[in-house]
Amino acid sequence: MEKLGLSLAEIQEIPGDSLTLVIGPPGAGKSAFCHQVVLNSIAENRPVIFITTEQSPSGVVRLLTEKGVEGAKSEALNFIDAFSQTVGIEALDRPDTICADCADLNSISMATTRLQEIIGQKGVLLAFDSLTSPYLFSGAEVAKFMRLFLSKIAAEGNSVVALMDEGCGKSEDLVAMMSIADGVIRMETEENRQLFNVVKHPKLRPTRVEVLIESKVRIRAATHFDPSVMKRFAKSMLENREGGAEAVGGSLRSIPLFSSVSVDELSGLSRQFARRRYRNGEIIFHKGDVGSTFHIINTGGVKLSIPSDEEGDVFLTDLGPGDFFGELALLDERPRSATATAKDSTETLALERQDFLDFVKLHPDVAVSILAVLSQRIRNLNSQLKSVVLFKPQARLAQTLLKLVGTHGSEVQEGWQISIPLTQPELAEMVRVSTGTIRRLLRDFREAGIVSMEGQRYLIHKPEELRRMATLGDSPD
Amino acid sequence: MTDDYARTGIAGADKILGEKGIPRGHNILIAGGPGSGKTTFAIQFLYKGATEYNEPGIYISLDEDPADVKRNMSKFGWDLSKLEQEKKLAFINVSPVRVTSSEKAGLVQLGMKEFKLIKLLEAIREGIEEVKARRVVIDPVTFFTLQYPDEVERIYAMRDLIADFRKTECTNLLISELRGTGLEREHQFEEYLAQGVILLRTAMREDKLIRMFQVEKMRGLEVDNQPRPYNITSNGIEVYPTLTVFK
Repeated sequence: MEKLGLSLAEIQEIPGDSLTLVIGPPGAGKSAFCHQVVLNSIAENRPVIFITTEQSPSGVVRLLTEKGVEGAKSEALNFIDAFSQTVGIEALDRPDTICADCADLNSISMATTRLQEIIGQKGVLLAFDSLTSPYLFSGAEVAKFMRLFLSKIAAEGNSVVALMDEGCGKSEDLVAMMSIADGVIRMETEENRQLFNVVKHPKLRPTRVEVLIESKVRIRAATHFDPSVMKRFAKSMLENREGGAEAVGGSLRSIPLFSSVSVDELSGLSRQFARRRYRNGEIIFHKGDVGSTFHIINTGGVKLSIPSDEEGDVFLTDLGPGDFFGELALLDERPRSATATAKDSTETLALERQDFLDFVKLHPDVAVSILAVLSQRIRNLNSQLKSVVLFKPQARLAQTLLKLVGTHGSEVQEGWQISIPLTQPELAEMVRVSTGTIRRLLRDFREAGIVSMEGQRYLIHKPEELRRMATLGDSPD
Repeated sequence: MTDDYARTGIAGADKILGEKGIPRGHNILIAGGPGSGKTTFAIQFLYKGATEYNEPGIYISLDEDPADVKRNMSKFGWDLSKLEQEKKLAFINVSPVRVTSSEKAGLVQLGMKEFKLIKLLEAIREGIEEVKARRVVIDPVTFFTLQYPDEVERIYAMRDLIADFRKTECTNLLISELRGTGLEREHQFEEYLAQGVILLRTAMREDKLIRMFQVEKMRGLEVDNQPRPYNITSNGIEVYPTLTVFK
């Protein structure tokens, strides 16, 4: 997945000593964004003061955990319930929850001050979801509240994120609030994408980040969490201050899969990765093996194929640095679906199943990237399947050579030179025929003057003839 | 140095009072509307004095029956009867004298007038003697002054009372009703006579009550004069000295 300027993860990091206002129309995903910020903070074992005016703390906890009540027990999460009292229901939630009245800003500031005293440390994340309700009661006084209270909390060395609906009050009040905030993120949902417009930011340049709408769902999905996972990661992050792991972290950084993960988290993750080295031609795992390791290629390349007795191996795909494999067995715990062979002197970064799952749970961006790659692989497989089912080997060879011209071809006097060396077995795998068949087909092509070969180099003389042959749609013989 | 000041024992209030407290021997007017927590503040001052600063105190009730006061204050976890038994706290009830009167001028009962001040001062001296008090609360001092229908007479009576109080060398809190709420309010003559004025103000915003603690005047001490939010919690009065009041 391409990184578009800033990543979502960067935006989700609310800088210390600053007040960030998240604005947008109702339903833009502000709360989900806020929940993600809160989860990130909990993952780092950083205390959170969550001021909730839109729902009860238990409602928030439900959204944060969904699967159970573990999150409610997280010591890092502290609530100010400015909902129950205001709507007149009894606040039964947690005995340690401090109540306030969202119609009275003083009660909120006092409750927050009390909670700060109880927590007794700086560097807290204060999440205010949302300022809309207090605004409905107190109007422009909320801007004063931001200036005199929230900014003060931020200036004391904490991070503050406050949400505010657009369009529910006077525009000049919103402008005032935006000017008071150190950072402003405007969120919008547009067709299939979610827009994060960083209007101002204390550290980053103003920018716009678009995320496909799946990621909106993803942000919600990220709210399932298991505090033990958080703890483990927080621990590994703290422990990980050694050079070796840093170096692996550096390798991870260049992998597109992790583009949305912060450097700190990567160095934490890198501790769980093991470097594995393979010689050229060495089998990393066989189809049918029981496996639980996920690999990311650091250097070299890996071929995935399915062995077949009749026609030789069926080639699936070639992977290079930054690509990953082994994820299927990880996900479904079934035997390996393909054989992975090192094509070169190859180094992979290997991650064990539990660490992989824990990490993916924490980093929905990564999960979505993996899904995107998996979808692409399924599409490729479908088109390969279609090609095998619909086309004769001769047509498939023509298609493969054309594809190679497209990807690796350079025009020369006699036609098109394919710049990469290919052995006949390799070509056989790509066309999904046996090496015997490929030898026969290549002889036919050569005799027809379509192709000539010099060692492992192929020269295409008549691409138009290949094109004609490639569309022959007869059933295979 | 600290001995020159009587700490209120209310952290936020002491912070506003320059981290010192009330200058010892001064007469401080505590003014607030109904339900603003004047009595709570005063009792908290006495309770903390007796339990934390080894300063016994007396509470002179001109209105409420001390038994009611003790009962009401038990919700904050303050066992006043125990302090009374330990002779760290004395309750003096001068309210019954009111009922002996029959004559009225308007709403004011005149029957107490001729002996009230003397009687009051006598009672106070006895009380101070009994527990070796260093803190005194008169609740509400307005009851005493209001019996004088003439304002000049009232001012004199109040001045006499305050002058007499000074001789005790106790730190005295005089509880007063605050007339007018919110930002505009009338200044009362007691405020000019007292050496310090602490206001427990309330204001209504829409239908929400906003409470403000404000040290309006404190002779001999640099204080924060801004109104600060306060709360009446299960622990008594809590003042937030760093917060601004929002309306």
